[in-house]
Order: sequence, then structure tokens, then C-alpha cells
Amino acid sequence: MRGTLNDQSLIYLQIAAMIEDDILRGVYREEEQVPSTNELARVYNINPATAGKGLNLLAGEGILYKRRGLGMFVSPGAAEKVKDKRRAAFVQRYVAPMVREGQSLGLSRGELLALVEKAMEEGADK
Amino acid sequence: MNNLTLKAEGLNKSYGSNHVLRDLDVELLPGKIYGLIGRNGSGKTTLLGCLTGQNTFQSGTVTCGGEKVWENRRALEQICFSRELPDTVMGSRNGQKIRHYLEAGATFFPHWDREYAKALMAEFGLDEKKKIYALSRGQRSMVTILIALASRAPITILDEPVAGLDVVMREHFYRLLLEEFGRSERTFVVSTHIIEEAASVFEEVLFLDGGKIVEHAPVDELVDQFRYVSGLAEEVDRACAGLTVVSRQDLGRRRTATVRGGEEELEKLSAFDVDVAPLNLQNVFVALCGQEHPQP
Amino acid sequence: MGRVLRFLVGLHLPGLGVFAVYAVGMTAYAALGGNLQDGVLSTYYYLFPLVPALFLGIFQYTSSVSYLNIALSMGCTRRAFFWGNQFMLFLTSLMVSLLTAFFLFLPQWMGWDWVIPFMPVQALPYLPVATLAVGECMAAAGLLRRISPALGMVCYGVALVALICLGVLVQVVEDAWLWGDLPAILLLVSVFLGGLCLVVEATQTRQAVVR
Repeated sequence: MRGTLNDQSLIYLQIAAMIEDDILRGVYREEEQVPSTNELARVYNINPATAGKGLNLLAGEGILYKRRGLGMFVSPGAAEKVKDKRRAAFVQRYVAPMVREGQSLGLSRGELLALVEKAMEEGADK
Repeated sequence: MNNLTLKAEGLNKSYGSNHVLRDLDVELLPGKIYGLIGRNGSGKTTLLGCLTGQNTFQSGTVTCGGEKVWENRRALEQICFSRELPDTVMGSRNGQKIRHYLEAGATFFPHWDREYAKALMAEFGLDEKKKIYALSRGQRSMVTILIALASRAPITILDEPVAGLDVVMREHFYRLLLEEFGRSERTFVVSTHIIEEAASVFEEVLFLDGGKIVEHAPVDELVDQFRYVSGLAEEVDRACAGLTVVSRQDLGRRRTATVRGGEEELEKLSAFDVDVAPLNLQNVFVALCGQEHPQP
Repeated sequence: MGRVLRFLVGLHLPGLGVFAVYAVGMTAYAALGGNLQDGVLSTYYYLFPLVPALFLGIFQYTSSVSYLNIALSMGCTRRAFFWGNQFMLFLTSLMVSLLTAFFLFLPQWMGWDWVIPFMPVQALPYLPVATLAVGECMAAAGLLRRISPALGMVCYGVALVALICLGVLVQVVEDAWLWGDLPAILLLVSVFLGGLCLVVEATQTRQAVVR
């Protein structure tokens, strides 16, 4: 289980991302409880405080909410919030690097856009 | 309710002319797992011995919950410093049985948990009748770990607990540590050489270098301050203009710089044509404390 | 101090057990008609008064070298260990002296007239103090050994002197007209050495570190 965490980004961010992915996949549905900090700590062999940081991050963004004495639960509309968050990050994570890489390869604006369209067509076929 | 802070101020310790700890300050708040990392000979064991009343020091103060630790039974009852058991004592082999150590633990530690000790003995596959010299290094480490955990002391310090343990046993140890930490509010301090696999277990980390604590921060906050920046040498230099460059490595025209800075400064790196990669805790330690000069 | 005592007593018990077995064994052997010329008897039986001191000494040496370390590493204070150890020293010196007295008089009570006493009765009062002195010297020897093998050896020698005092004392105390004040002098030497070592123990324990 430990192997699913890598050292490419901070652990609490990976925990948060994993829970977001699970929400999108329907592993956790709205109003369902997500694993506690101790459970996460046990499964991933990490410090509970780190796990807690990841959960608190999502709580701060409204994706999770806390029920006193019980734990963290998936907020209503969480899946949409995750998608919104990822859309906002999409530019920084994927688009900007792609544009930079295109520039360093010497692709013109037209060439880059053509490649994007081609990829979208191929994706639609699948 | 563990509200005991273990603190040292202005700690100085010398062995003859070797000034090991220099005006050292450290504060360990309750209820966290701390990693103490330092090179061989940096004085980790010495520091831990001073913090726990087991070692003398020339000047400074060491307090636990506000009270001085030295020769103070009330403070010492709350602290367990478990270090590697010697397999020789004054030149002859250590003929103490494991059972003697367990009995001693039960006698001296007010919170000692016999059931837990028994369970751990079984889990580690140890025979209490065996003598210390007959144990392998790994088994001696297991006894060290057992004493630390079973003591149930509010402040528990383990000195190189994974020495001699294979990777499976090391993972087992981290699991046990986290389990016990989750169950209780104990403060744990673990000194280790094997940094990266333990990094996820620590909440905060302390680097001991040159007789002082040079870094004390939550692990991810510390690690997030660093980046590897690589690319064409001139471009890398431009990109790193506003940042602290910790080290540089060149391969032809390719330069890799290790930089340190705040969040905003590091974000500016994306504007340049360079590869930016994160460091892990081990990388950070080597970058900060891995200079080849001998210990002063 | 209760914890230190529990700790030390637990470690002491096997040693005391061995001593008891020795005492019983030797007395039984003598009672069952052991010959005066017998090598066994002359070696072990007549050494009876020295044996407790030896046992005690060895225990004290081990205590200083090992048990102090274990106790300190588990949070025991040096003060508590010092006083606890002193208490054990006094207690065991007394106990072994009482045991020795018991085995000295036992043949008499049982009517075993053929058993020759292993030491003169007059030696009994000197026994606790002389034994204690040996114990203190060995304890100091152990503590000094921790900081320097050479110093440890020197103190070991001192302990040997105290042991010899005890041995000789037991021999000469009977013939007061021949030896005069010698027994008293030997006792004083013992006490002096023991006292010296007690001071060494006190100062060494105060600054002891876990090794």
C-alpha cells in the first residue's frame, strides 16, 4: 500500500488527490464517510497529522465536511467541486506546459492547434 | 493528556577538546513524532542522552514540562530513552537476559504495559530467556523497540531503532510506531540514518549539524522549500536569480542547481525554460548537511 | 527508592540462592562425616567466612558495571541508586553474617560433635563490618572500572586487601594472647578502606553517565 505514494509531490497533497479521484470514481458518494486520519495513517504508513492535513485541505475547499465526533464526510456536490478545481488547475498542469514545450520545439500556433484537434478526434473515436 | 514539552536551552557538551553540542536550543512539543537526523558523529546520541538526564553537560538547561530533568524523578518517570543494547560490557559479553530488561522496565517505568510487552515479544519471535550477547543485531534492535513501546512513557525517544533490521522488519516497526502513536498521545523522537523511508512517519524533522539544530520544521514544509532546477547553464542562473542556491552540479553545458526559496519565488521558475523537480527529505538533508568538510 | 530496591533484590536473589545451597551443602558434607584431611573440606568449608564476602563483592562489582547502567537508562536517579545499593550492601552483609552464624552453631545444636567449626565464635561480631567493607571496595572498583581499567584494577587490589584482612582476622581472633591487638587493627584497616571506597562510590555515582 505504501508503494502507491511517491516522492514527486508532498504526501498530504497525494492523499487529497487520491480522495478526490475516489470521489470522481464513485468510491465515496455524497454524505458517505471517508477514511479517518488513523485509518489512512495505518494503510499508507504515514503520520496521522499528514493524513489530517490532506483531509483538512479538502474540507477547506468544501469537498469534505466534518461531523463532530464522527469524522469527515463527502459534501453534497463534491464531485462537481472536484471537477471545477481540476478544471482550474488544468491550465497550469497541462496547457501551459504543453504550450511551453511546443514553443521550445519550434511549433507554430497553427501546428500546435492542429495537433490538439487531431488528438481530440482520435480520442472521440475510442 | 500529554502536555509535556521537552526543551533544551544553550546546551553545551564537550568530550575533552571535542565540542560536540554548541549552545544548542531545541523545543519538542507534546504529541508529535519527531525525526532527528544527523551524520555519524554529529552527536545525536549525546544530545538525546543530555535531554534525558542520562548524560552530563557543561552548561545550559534541560527541562521537561518546565521542570529540570537532571536527577528529577518526576520528570524522568515520564521519559523513556531506549538505545541500542550493548553486546559487550567493559570487555566481557553482556550476559543479561532479555527478561531482566523487561523486569527492569516494569520496575522503573510507571506506565509500563506488561501485556503489550508480552504481545510484542511474541510478535518479534523473541525468547525472554535468551542472553543479549546471543542475539543478532537485528534482535537487539527489536528489544530496544520493545522497551520503548511497552514503556508507554509520554515522551519516548528511540536512538537508531532500525539498525540491523531488514526492510520487512523496518516497515513493521514504522507500522507499530504509528499504531501506538494513533492510540496514545505520546511524543516520539526517532533518530535515524535511514531517512527517506521514515520521512512519511515524521511530523517534524530536526537536522543536527555542527553541534546545533540547523533545521526544525514540519517535513513537508521543509521539503517544499527546495527544488532541483536544470537546463542550459545560463538559463538556470537566470531562473535562480532571486533564490538561495544551495549547490550546483555541471555536466557539460547542463547545470543542475539545488535552490531554496519561498512559495512565490519558486513559482516564478515556471517562466523559464528549465526543468524543475522536487526534492525528498533525504535529498534535502544531503544538500544542507552533506558537505564533505569534517565535523568541527 | 522502592523501585531500585525491587530492581536490586530481584537480581540478588539468585546469588543468595547459590550461597544458601553452598552453605547447606558444605554443612551437610561436614555433618555426614567429612574427614578433616579431606581436600574438599579444607578448601571450601573453612573458607566459609570469606565466601559471603566474595559473593557480595562480585555482585557489587557487577552492580556498578552493569546494573547501574540499566537503572540509569530506565530513568532511575543516581541518588536513588546510590542509597538503594547501600541499603542492599548493609542488608546483605547482615544477612550473610546471620546465615554464617546459623551454620556455625548448627552442628552444636544438632549434636554433631565431630564437626569442627569453620571459624572461631569470637570472629562473628567482626564479620558484618568486614564483609561490608569488602562490598564497598568492590562497588567502588566497578565504578572506577567504568572510567578507567587501571583505576579499576587499583581499587580491585584495595578490595583484595580488605578481603585478606577479613581472612586473617578470622584466623587470629581466637588466640588473643598471641596476636594482641591485631584483630582490632585489621578491622580498622577494613573500615578505613571501606569508608574510602564509600566516598569514591558517592562521588562517582553523582556524575555517572549511561555507557
